[in-house]
Order: sequence, then structure tokens, then C-alpha cells
Amino acid sequence: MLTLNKLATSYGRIQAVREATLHVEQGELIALIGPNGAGKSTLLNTLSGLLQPTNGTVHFFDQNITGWRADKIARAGLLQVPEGRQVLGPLTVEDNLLLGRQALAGRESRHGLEDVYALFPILRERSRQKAGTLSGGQQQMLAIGRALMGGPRLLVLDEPSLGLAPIIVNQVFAVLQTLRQSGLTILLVEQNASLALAASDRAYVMEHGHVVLDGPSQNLRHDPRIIEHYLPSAEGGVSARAAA
Amino acid sequence: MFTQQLLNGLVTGSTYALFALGFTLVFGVLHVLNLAHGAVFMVGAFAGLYTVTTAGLPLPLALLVAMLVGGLISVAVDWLALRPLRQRGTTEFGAIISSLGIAQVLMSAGQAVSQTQIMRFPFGTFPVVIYQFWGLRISLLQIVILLLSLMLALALLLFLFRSDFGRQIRAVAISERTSSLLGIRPGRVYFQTFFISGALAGAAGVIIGLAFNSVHFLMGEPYLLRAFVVIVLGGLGSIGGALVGGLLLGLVQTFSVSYLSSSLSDAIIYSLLFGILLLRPSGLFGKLHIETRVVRA
Repeated sequence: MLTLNKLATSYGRIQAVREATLHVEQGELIALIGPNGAGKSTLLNTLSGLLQPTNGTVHFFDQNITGWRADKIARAGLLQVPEGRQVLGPLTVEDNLLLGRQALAGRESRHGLEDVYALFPILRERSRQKAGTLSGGQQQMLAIGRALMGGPRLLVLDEPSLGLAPIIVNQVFAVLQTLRQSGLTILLVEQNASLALAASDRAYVMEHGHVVLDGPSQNLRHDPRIIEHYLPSAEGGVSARAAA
Repeated sequence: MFTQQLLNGLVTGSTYALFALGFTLVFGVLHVLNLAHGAVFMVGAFAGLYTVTTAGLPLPLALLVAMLVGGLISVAVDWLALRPLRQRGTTEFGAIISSLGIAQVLMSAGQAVSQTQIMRFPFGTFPVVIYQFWGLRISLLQIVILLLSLMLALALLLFLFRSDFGRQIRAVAISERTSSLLGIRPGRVYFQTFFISGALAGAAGVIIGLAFNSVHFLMGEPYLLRAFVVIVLGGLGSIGGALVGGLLLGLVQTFSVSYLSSSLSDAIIYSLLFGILLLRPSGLFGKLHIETRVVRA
């Protein structure tokens, strides 16, 4: 459903993504991992139309969406939960969620306001509160809920665990598993490799703007190259990083 | 005497508020001072006047024409002067220069069209009816001005805070980038914002042109200057603040003219502005400076 072919993106003379080729199939949960500065976020921002690629193509279902504007891509059903949540702080929680419907553009969403509240009950309690007053974890839930309101055909998450306490990370990932079991296709970008590999079907590893490795997540978890660079020490070390 | 002045002050103030509403709306959404707002107001007044004089149509229709023309001109101002800056991300300072340039073009056009004449609505365009009660005098026109200003302000508030379109405008005011990730078309939001702002200016042009029975190519300038005071008083980007700020300015002006001296009225107004900036830098209804980007109630 999503195919990136030799995608490249530059900031001026700096090539952040040099050559990325990957594909996502219907119903998959795909992880994209790699160290800070590998170009993961740049790749996502190119995918969602915030940045324009300098080379390569993006196909979404049967359409070539290379170079489309961000709002048009969102209305096509490719919805991004941006890094740092980016909730609209001065608006209420409910306003934020209702704005998510703008991406529908005639499509149906499986998630209305009530479904999102059922998924994240805390948002119902805070519905009249300004989004900026929520905790980081609640904002992450709001950002996911807002994207669900737009009826995503592909949900893209940029670093959902960033800056969250481990217990909140577990809650968020539990919801992602629920969504995936309901048939939603998800592309997950994570620095927390062990978390991402545990949650996903397949994974891509990015370094210095290249996709250097890919395969079923189960295999990658036991790949010595991955263990050495991305899975330091035991689970405890990784949770500590997630909490940091 | 006091109540009469109070009434006059409210009527004057409501014209200031009407003008300032559209001005503050654009500021709240784009963080841009649209210095062409006074010229759009003038063009609206011209359109309304010609609808009555040349086309011979009734006043309510002229008001609608003025709002439509004002709205479209305002959208054109955005397209020509502000949109190119937005795309380069240099809006905030550049917009002051480019909107000022457009204002000059519109005023020159107005001067050419009117041949530098002060024009008037024909006698009887609005029926001259004066009510007298409890020793007060108020004309039907004054009542209509007051009510129309309040109604338009209320309609704008309802639109912004109770409708899907309004929610989109507020979202883009906070972050165009995040809004576009949600599927909101920023271009459409700017179009709506400028159209509404211009339509309000057009309505204000006809109403003020009628109230003072004077329509000329420079009529927008004093109002633009007053609008600065109004939105600073009320808090930048605040709709309710523009309404209250406008009424307050009208009252202060009327009282200082009637109890002190008309030559002192500007000095008093700007001293008030200075005092408020000193004590409440974000205006009477402003909160934090950072929130001036947001359209507030």
C-alpha cells in the first residue's frame, strides 16, 4: 500500500535521506529504527509532505503522491502523529479531536469521538481542558486519538515513546497493538529499538540516510549487528532510555 | 447630559469596534498588521455608495454589496501582498510594508475614481427618525449602528468558537504546519479569514459613511490609527477585546470632548494607551504575550 522508491531529501546542501527504499503492506506494523540523526524523522516528514523529496517516489495505494502538499496527503488517509505530539495547546482536548475529522474528506472513520474516548478514557475526563495543560503521555494519546478521528488508512507515528515514563509507554504501545489487531496499518519510527522490534512485524534500520538492513522483527532481534548497536545491555537499560 | 454623552460614546465606539474586528481577526490568525484594512474599508464604502447613487438600489442591498466587495478586495490583498511573503516565511515584518503599499494603490484608485471629492449618500437613503425619551435624543441610525455592530461581533464570535470553520481558523492561527498534517487546507482558511475581515470592513465603511455622511478616499486612515489603539486596549487578536476596546475608546473620546476640550481628546486617548501599555502590556483582556498568536474569545 505504501512504497518508497529511492527516496532522497536534503536540507540545503545537507542530504538527510540519501536513498530510502521501503514498503508497507496492508495490516502490517512496520518499525523504522536507527540512531539519532539517521534521517528517520526527515523520511517521515517527506512522506507526510512537510518536506519535498529531491529524488525518488512515494506511492500510496494506486497513487503517486510524490510532492503532494501535506494537507492533501493527510486527506488521502496517510496520517502522521508528529514527533513531540504537536497538539494545539490553546484549544480544548475535544476541539483537537474534532479537528482530526478534517482529514476524512468524505471517507468514513472507524473512530468517532466516543471510540477515541473509549480507547483513552482520560481524554474524556479532560475533554474541556486546554490540550496544553495535559501531561506528555496524555498529549501523546490525544495526538493518536486525533489522527484516528481522520480515518487513517496508514497511521505513521514519529517517536511516540519520546520523553514518556515507561508505564505510559506501555499504555501507548498496548493501544497500538489493539489498533493493529483491528486491522490498522501502522508505520512506527522509534529510537527505542527493543520496544519497536517487540511490537512490529517487520523492521527497517536506517543509518546516515540509508536503509541499511531490513527483515522480520523477530529475526532482527537476534541479529548480532542489531544486538551490538541497538540493544545495549538488558531490558532495564532500554526502559531507562525511554524514561529519559 | 451625562447619559446623552454615554449614548453618543457607545455609538461612536461601536463604529470603532466594527472597524477593529476585522483588523484584529487577521492579526490573531496571521500575526500580521494588515495596514490595507483602512483602504479596504474605504473601497467598501465606495461600493456601497455607488450601489445607492449610480445603481439606485436600496441601502440593505448596498450593505451586502459593500461586504462582498470588501471581502473580495481583502482576499486580493492577501494574495498579492501577503501570500508571497508567507510562502517565504518572512511575513511578520514584510507584511507591514507590502500591505502599506497595497493601501496606497487602493487609495490612489479611490482618489481617481472620486476625483478627490467628498461624496455623500443622497438625502433620505436612511430615514431621519429621532427618538426622544427621558431627555435623551437618539436617531434610528444610531440605534441601527449600535445594534449592527454588536450583532456582527456576536456573529463573528459564534462563527469562530462554535463552528467547524472557526475551529479550523483557530487551528491555523496556532500552527499552520500541524493543521496541514490534520488535513486542513491552510489556503482555504486564509481565504475565509481575509474575506470575513474585508466584509466587516466593507460593512463598517457603509455604516460610518452614513453616520458622518461623508465618503472619501482617505476615510480609512484615521480609523486605522484608532484601530491600533482599540486592539492594544482590548488585547491583540482578541475579538471580545476589540469590541470592548472600541466601545471604551468611543466613551473616552466623547467624554473628553464634552467635559474637557476637543483639542485634548487625542492627547487623552494616547495617554490612556500609554498607561495601559505600561500597566498591562498585553491589553485589558490579554494574557501572555505568546498567546497573541491565538484568536481569543
